[in-house]
Amino acid sequence: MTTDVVQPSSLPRGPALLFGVLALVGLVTLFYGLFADSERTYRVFLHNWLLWAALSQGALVLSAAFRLTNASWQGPIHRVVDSLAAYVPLSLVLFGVIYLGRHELFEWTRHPIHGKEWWFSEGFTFIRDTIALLWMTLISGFYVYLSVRPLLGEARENTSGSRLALYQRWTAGWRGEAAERELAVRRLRKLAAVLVLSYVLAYSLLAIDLIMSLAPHWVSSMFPAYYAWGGFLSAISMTALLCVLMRNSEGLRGEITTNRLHDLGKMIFAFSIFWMYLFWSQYIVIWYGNMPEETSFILARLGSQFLQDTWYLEGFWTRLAEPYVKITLLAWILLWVVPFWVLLGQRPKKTPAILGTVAFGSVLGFWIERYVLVTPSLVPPESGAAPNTLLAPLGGIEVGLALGFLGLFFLCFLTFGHVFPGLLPAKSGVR
Amino acid sequence: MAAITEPVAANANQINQDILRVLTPPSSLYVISVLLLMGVVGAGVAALAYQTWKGFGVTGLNHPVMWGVYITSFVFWVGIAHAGTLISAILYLFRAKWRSAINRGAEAMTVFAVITAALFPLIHIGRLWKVYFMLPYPNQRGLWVNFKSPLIWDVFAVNTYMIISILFLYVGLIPDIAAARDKCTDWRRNLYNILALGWRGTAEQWRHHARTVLHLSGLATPLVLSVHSVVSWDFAVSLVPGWHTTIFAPYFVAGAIFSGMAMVITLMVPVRKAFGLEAHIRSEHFDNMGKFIVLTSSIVAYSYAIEFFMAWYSANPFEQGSFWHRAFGDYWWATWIMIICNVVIPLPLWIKRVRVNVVALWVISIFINLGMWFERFVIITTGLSHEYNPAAWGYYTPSWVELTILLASFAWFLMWFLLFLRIFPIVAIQEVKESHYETQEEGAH
Repeated sequence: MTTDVVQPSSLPRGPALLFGVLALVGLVTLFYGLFADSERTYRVFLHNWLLWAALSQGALVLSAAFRLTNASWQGPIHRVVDSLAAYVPLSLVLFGVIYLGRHELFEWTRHPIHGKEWWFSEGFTFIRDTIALLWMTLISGFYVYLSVRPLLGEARENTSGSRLALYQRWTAGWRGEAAERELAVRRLRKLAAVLVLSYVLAYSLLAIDLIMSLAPHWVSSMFPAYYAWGGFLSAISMTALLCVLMRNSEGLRGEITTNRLHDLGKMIFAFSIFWMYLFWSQYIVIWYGNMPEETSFILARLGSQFLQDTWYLEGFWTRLAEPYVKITLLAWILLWVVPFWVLLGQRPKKTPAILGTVAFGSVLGFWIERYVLVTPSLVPPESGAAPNTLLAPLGGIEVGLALGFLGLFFLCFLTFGHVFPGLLPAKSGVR
Repeated sequence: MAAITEPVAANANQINQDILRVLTPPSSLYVISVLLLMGVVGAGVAALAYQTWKGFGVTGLNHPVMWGVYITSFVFWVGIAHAGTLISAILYLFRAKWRSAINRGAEAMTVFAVITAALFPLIHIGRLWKVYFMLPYPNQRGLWVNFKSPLIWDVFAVNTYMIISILFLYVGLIPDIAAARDKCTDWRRNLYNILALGWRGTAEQWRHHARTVLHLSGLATPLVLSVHSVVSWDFAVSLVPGWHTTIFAPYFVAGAIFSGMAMVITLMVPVRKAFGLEAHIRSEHFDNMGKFIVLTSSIVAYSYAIEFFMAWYSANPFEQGSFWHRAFGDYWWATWIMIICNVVIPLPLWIKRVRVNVVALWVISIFINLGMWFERFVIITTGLSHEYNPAAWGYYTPSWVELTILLASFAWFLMWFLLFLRIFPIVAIQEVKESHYETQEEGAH
């Protein structure tokens, strides 16, 4: 049963090289962009940061949810989920870049907002956000440590070098495997509750400080929870995508069964509906209230079509051609329309190619959605442009930085699998 | 796993016996309770008759607070009705087996809570005989309901919910009614005969039954979210400060599940004790319900916090004034009852020892019921009493008529629940058996 013994392994050469190159591309783009167009570079950086930080932290929330609900269907999938959190410390480090770009990104650093001077002040805002991220990094690290520790006892035997030193440090005071496992389950369940609670609070705060503050007069009490939920859902989609892609890899072979695919599909299906529910609940209240301090945010993204008092067909396509409208709709299609209609039946959920494609679309949809949350606040549609053109083009800087983040994220993921080999993926029977 | 010190049902026969024993002739305490409740319902009917005869002036409702105890109670009872569908549909789809001990009680409670809730809009419209104005139908006057009004969305949402929850209760009951039919000798035998729809427990029938429950669950799951969301939009889509805020829909849904779960505990603890169902409704069930309370209480606490924060953050003086008024104005006491009952008192439930302590859990659940009623009261009343124009601010005190009807609504709800207890099995026999044998199989490995 408990055969998830840690075996030494090296980084998979091909993927590691690929993601390393991508990370390098990102780094080069960052430096090039900072000299060429720093405002744009910081904006793109923020948008990507928001995606990956919430995704990796959301993954650990998913892992915590498995533990809190005593879920037993997931088998080794929760090891994949835990590994996604390897990027968490990096999001704290990369937050430094956002701090460096604060004057380019946040209008309020130059012109304080009346009534919110102390809330949005350089010192207070960035200190509290850093503390939030630091706290998340610490408890995430502790969580992963507790989760991994019971598996390291046996691994010490066939390891050497720096890895051995790490294993020995992490297995100090070893009580024997059975006792360690039991202790870990109990401790993790407690920590899981703290982690979920901290995630909701910290990522609500980040949503207010890093997204809402870009349009500082806009108000929506739903928005922080909406952003945090997005992080959770994007983590589920990423998990499903990886499970599909790696289903034939060394340790996952035979583990990604049809039933597990079905369950992953059900999760994307259900939680994407919930995402739509949150979006709709926010939208209908704003649409019905029709107050400028609320509609401004929607207007800049979905355009005037979705703020009409009724469904006028005349001029529909003209309104749809307003800036950002189509790309916003694309995010909506990828995040809800496709998952809902494609995953409605049983068969598509159980078909790896279909589930994987939908999951990939969902992750991509979140990348676009984060873009839409950030960009129209900084490059407002009022600045004027011909119909159907993007005011903030998807150019070299956008692509380069996106690839850089992608590379960094998966380098972390692979490194985790390298430092704790065999955990990713682990054999079944592990709780 | 820790050793189980509680009694565990020995076999299928005992499960039948234990649960069907509830249906044997009632004690005098039961009869007196039902009569007492009927008396209170009678008082409520009298108060309603008085209000209908004299007019709405006998209530405390007046400008600016035109929605008071009645609408508060409507929202409260719709909220209570959420536990049943959550447990029967969502937990079913999530394969949470522990639900089987409490789902029948929760489903029955749901139906009676919706019926109670549906009374309040009728009471609130004053002219009861005009109630059919709420339904859209082609008519000679060429009049249609205002489809843009969330109050009309409510009519649809609540009615849909009522139909689905009755179906849920009934479909689940069929095999159990058949079990009761086979043991029954008195007048109820004819009733069971009809309601069991000729159930014989063949493989074919079970297969259809399972499919029906699965499909009903799929249909009912969105309803758990939609009904209270629609109710929340009665308030949120208006421009009243304190009402118009985007988080209302999920916030109301979480509050509904919170209060519904608390009501399940409030009801099932005495039922379990009175009828000796300790072997079927065990501490693990209370533990899990306690966890639900912790989760939903946290969501509710988050919503309170974010509401206050966003009121400040909006830099809108009306919004800020409304929330200041809520916490420190005329209704400060109601607000603090709400916060203490819904956020502070449930805190001990983070500890497992408290969750499995049935008495502690029961006491906390009663406070939550109280707190959730006050939550609705706080939102509705403080919002209306303190809108934009200081000259139009006002204070609302409910009259004895409203309070009598409120009290009667509780009696009415409990009365139906008690009557149900004696006629239908309160624990889903077939589901308990299923999980009983599954546990045994797991143990055998």
